[in-house]
Amino acid sequence: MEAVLLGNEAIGRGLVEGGCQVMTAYPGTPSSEILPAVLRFGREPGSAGVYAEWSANEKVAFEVALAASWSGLRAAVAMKQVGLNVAADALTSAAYAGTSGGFVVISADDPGPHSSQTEQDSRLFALFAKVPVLDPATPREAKAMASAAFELSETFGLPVMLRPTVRVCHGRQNVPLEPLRPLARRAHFRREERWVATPARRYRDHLRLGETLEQVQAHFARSPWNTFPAARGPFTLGIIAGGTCSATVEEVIAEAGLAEAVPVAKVGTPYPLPVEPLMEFVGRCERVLVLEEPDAVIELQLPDRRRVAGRLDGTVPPAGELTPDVVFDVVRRQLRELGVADLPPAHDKALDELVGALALPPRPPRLCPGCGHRSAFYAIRRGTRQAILPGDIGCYTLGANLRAVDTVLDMGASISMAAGFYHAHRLAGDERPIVAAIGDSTFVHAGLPALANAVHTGARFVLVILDNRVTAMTGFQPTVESSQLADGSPGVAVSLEALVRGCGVRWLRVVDPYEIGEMIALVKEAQEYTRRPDGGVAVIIARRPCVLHRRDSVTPVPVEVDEACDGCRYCLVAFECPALVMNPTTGRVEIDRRICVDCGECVDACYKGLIVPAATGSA
Amino acid sequence: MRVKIVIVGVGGQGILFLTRLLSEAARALGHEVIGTETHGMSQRGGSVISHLKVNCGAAPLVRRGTADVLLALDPDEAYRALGFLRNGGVAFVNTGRPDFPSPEIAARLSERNITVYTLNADAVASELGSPALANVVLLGFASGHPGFPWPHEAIVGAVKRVGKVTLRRANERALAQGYAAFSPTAGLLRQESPRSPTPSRHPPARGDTSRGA
Ligand code: SF4
Ligand code: SF4
Repeated sequence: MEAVLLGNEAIGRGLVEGGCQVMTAYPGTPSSEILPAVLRFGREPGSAGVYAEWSANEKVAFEVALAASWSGLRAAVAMKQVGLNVAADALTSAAYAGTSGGFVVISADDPGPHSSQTEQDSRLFALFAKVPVLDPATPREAKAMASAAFELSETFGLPVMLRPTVRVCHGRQNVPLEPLRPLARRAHFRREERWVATPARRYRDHLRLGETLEQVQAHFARSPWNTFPAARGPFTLGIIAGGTCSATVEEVIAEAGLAEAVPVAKVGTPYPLPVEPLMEFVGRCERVLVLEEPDAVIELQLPDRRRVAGRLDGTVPPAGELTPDVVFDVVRRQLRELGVADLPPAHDKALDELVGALALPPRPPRLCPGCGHRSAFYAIRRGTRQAILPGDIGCYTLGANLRAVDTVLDMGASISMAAGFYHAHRLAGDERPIVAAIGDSTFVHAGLPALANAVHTGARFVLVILDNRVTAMTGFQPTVESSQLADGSPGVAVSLEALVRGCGVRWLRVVDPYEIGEMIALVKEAQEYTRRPDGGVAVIIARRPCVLHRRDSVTPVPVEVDEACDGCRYCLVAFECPALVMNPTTGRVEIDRRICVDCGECVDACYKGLIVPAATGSA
Repeated sequence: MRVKIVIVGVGGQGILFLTRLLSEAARALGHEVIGTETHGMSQRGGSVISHLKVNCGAAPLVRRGTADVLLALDPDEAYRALGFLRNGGVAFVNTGRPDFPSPEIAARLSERNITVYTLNADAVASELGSPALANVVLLGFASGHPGFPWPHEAIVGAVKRVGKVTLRRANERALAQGYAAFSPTAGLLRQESPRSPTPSRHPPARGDTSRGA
């Protein structure tokens, strides 16, 4: 059997084929489709059955899955690269303790970055934590590696990282489907000294970890995931490429007709690096170009870099994705410098310039038409003056388009930074308003400790929790508020209100952000509370389902723009619904009926009252 | 069959669905597929691009200057992606703008033997009662071109297998409508031919319907 699968689906398939029985994840692009795939394939005949959960954050996910491994089952946890920061505490300690059942940590990197706040390299993190890494070049390889990672983990008793990049996660390829064969395993936790992290014991664990990694390195030197060119050379230029870069550079070189002249060593096991065969390859070349994403990990581990060019010496750009265009430029320059070949430039410069001259407006992402966050941000802007507006990570980061988000750092930072802004400004007697905004999923992920801390330290600010009932940006995964679990079975719904009150908050209101007037009044009232002698943190829960997920939650209020619209653009700037568009011919704003969801919210967005509910029947 | 195709548009226009249809159609014909697509934040109305390669090895992205075909659901995104096309490549663009592509760009494309076909797929889809079908209409349109790498029947087959069951009939209709809309004179012609005075309007000539959808 064969199917064309998304890379993440292929990884999910590989995990199930490898006997995965517990799978946890916190959603994050580009990793989010792995867990649903595990659920889907885990229901097929032959599977032993899988427990899978969307956890509250990556650290929780990591620890839930690790417990399954310590009980003897094969378990996996998936996250995006920045999620690994959150799980770092658990990861570094787990390497020392080791594993029982196979344990695979999937951390998806995002060179570019396309959908992340950093371009960090999970392989560097694995090197830091001393955990072996597999780096797939294609979805097909990712599936094979996911399955093999369990064996590797059990052979050496270590967590194993699978590190796909976005081009593998969201790649699509024909993938063979092997039959599922259930492992006959039952969880059985056995007391062992190594499960208890005490400093005295950890010294010995660290020594042993080093020895184990040497064995892994020797194993990797013979691993089928690496290919070292057989031809003896000598070569003028050789290439060492990791993961997707190997496929990219092989194509670039083949298209230039240089496949014989420029050999490529492919590295699928970047840590611990099989140094010996690679240095032997370097010895056969006058110069070796290292191509890897997003940072230098292979290059860093090569003990003698005198013939080596890559990210570290500036030959390869220090940031950004290694697209075939970038790879082509880098390779072309090397070939010319070394006198191997002089390839014609790839770009049609003339065409690029003509397109550039059109000065096409950039197309940044925006909140969806009818998104409740837009109404909430609009109300925050209307209900505050000169406020500091700390924001957070999710669809609502796009509140920056409405100038309602001043800072975005990492998950949960809106709340801790609001407290920090308060304490810092109070030192100078400046008690300017502060209104933070965070989504429901992010609040549970990392906002809870920050809120308890803010209340405890007497910080004064308004916190708006944008509660759309799902993790929207990553594909509508359920949150702890949901009464349904990842597989659709019933779960216990945890109340946001109870969590907020449990953090010690004494001023809490819930509002539908579509009621813009009501919400503006609440934002003002909340600020008054923060200034009262007995005041503190005021919390507003702006509750409205994500409209992309639950279109049926909108009661249609079709609107139209009055002929008197003078094209002042106020609504476009202040409300920025993608369905409000300027017609350059008439000079008036129009409604793009193809994407308008008839939410009726823009009625509030024209202060001249020229966006009005449509006369019945005319919408 | 050895193809590199790039599909562009705006988040929400159904680029990923077209990518799934084309990869499924290629797989069913026994071909090796590799590609990559945009997920995440850009799906909220940002620029979205899919790369798809058939029997081209293992690299997922298409290098600029090497694509055989460009499918564009939005004219601005089409402009941005024209650089992907190789000499002699073909673009199919959803636009109602009579001035697409601009005369300077049309001239440059002609020099490189690149052909652009345009169709107001939004208008066709709206007439079908569902503006969201513009993506499938454009695919049908492209598959009407005799040189389009995928046989039309293979795409019809994929439409019957991929996506929500409830939408398959509508997709089939959209595909057929787009297919019927193709005529060799729709849009900009090659360098030796004059620009057609009225670039691709709906409804266009229906010379090809006999081939059946
Ligand atoms: S997906 Fe939902 S939450 Fe995100 S922008 Fe769209 S409507 Fe808003
Ligand atoms: S009614 Fe107004 S705000 Fe709502 S989607 Fe339509 S144009 Fe946007």
